[in-house]
Amino acid sequence: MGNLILSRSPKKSKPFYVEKLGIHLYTAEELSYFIYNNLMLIDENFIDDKLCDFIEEAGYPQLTVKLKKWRDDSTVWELMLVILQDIHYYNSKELETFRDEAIRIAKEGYEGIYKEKADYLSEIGRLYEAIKMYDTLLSSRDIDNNKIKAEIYESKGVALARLFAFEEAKNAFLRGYELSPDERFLEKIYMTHLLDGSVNYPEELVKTALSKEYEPTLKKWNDKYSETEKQIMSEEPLAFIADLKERDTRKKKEGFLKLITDWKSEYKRNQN
Amino acid sequence: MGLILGVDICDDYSQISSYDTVSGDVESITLGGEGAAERIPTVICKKNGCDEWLIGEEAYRNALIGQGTLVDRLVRLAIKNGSATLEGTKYKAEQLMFRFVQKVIGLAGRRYETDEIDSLVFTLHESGPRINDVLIRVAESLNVSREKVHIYTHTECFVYYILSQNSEIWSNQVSMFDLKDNAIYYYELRAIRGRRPVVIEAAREKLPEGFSLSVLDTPAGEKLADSILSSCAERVLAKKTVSSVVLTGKGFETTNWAGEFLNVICNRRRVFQSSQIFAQGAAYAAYDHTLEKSAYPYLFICEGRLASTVSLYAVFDGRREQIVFAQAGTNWYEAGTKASFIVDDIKDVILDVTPVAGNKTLQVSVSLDELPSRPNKTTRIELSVTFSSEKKMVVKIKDCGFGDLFPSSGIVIRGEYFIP
Repeated sequence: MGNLILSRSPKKSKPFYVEKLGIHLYTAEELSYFIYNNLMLIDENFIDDKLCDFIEEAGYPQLTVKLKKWRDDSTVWELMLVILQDIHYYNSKELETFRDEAIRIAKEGYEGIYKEKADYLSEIGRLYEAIKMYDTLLSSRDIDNNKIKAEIYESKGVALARLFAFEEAKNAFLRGYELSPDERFLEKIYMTHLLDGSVNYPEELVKTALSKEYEPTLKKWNDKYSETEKQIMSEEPLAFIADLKERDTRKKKEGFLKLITDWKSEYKRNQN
Repeated sequence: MGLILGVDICDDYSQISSYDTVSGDVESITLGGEGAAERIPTVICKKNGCDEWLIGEEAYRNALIGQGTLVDRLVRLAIKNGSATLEGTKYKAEQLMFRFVQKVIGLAGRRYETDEIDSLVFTLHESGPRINDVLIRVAESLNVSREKVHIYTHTECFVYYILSQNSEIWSNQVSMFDLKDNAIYYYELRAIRGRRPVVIEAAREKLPEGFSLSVLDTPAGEKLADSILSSCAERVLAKKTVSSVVLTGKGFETTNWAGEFLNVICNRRRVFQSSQIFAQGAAYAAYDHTLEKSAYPYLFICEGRLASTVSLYAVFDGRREQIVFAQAGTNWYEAGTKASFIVDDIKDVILDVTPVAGNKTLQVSVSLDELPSRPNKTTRIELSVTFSSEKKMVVKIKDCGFGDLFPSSGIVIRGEYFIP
């Protein structure tokens, strides 16, 4: 059954800044939501004095006392659970799910959690940080499974492509293919070529791998690319740019300025 | 200690009373000092060629001899948000009301030699959002802060007046006749003692037999008026256990002409006459507002007060609890509040309206369809409940978004609902 949840904490004038996402949290409920949905962004450094001050000001002084007292003897997941429990934004069933997820992460081990975290960072646009993490994983001696290594190269390639580094992306996909020959790597290699014609496309390698299926597969990939291109053009920010063309000069200028500012802040965040 | 004042403002006459904390009684303040008439005509006159303003009978006199311009019906003018042009200058109703109230309150200031006001209650025949707002602003302009000002209806002040008398007066029902020019108002009060807190129920009714008070100028007219009132009294008092009858209004300044009527109402009842019921009731109420704990631990159900409690159920600290937005018995202008909620998988906000009388709770449903679609629990709303009368509730739901994660759309859903 649905409900209204009475909010104890009014919007704070001094919000809590989450550097990794470049956003401000103004209430205890927003903090709960952030923790619950961004598990991968949380580490031991998350609980600091600034967070404690924010929680206290948001109307939960007792919770602050608990956090300060238990900070040194508890895991970050245990402390997160205490925060979620005390704020009461999530019900017991949702907290159970959170607990399970925290336990899973704790059990996953180094490469499992690290890869998942890197993927998450890549998904939310923190590409440089994600790439650094992929490189750390790839240089780790703990990973001796070629299939897993190939997957890491694949993820790295995607992140590089999103940074318009198509040649480097192609190389990552190529390395992934060498470790674990699979058609999906060839497709991604071909796509980097379509995205940027200057990318050195290893035609012979692909031809040999696909043999008789080369022509029809290429056609299939071309169709897929056209379809994706259409879709991308209708999405932000490209649709936004197209829309700006229709507006008057002043609005157009303001619009572009805002877009560039957003990109700049995103870039700065990525550089940190 | 500052003044504790009750001010009755009507379109015809106004009155002012002050509460004396030493004697515990109220005192009427007149325009002309002791012995002068307690009714101050609600008129204002600007003297020609200067910025001198007069009120009451003096205002009439100056206007009559052509030394100034008169404006009357100040309450109606304020309700209509009107204005008056005096010597080529346009004055808003609020400005005129300010000057009038300033003069009236000034009477108390001069009498007690202080301008400080600790508590002020205005009483009106009928309260409404516009006139109430005007009086609040007028009081603020007179350096009386918002929390020290209250605006009550005549019925509420009738209740305060009666409850401030010896409890024998209101051991049973109390009736009151307010005889005005061209109108007779009948008030009733009864205490329902079987409930906790005791419920004080009061009502006002305009009787259809109103007549012009000028008929009292002739013996024949007096006889006719007496006869009209007698039949009114027989009708409204029939089959009721009335312990006291109160007479008020300009028509009852003397009762020599109303022998037959007095015979009807005096039958096994206490009868008393007071010309300042409402202003004095307001002064009692004003004093009550200076106390930490009210001297009237009753639930008032009457014109000006909510007859229902408005609440909703919400989760607070993990428990489902009733959140009360307005309590029955509260003055409508002062009732209502706002609170922030997170929407968790619901499409409508359901408010419970529980009347004091009867056990049935009504539900008012406000749809949230207009709010933007977002993941569950990422919409914060500010829900405010206010009233534009004791029967009309205004519900506003403002989309506050969810911080930077989901910015507010700025949408406000507004609905007006009649409540019992």
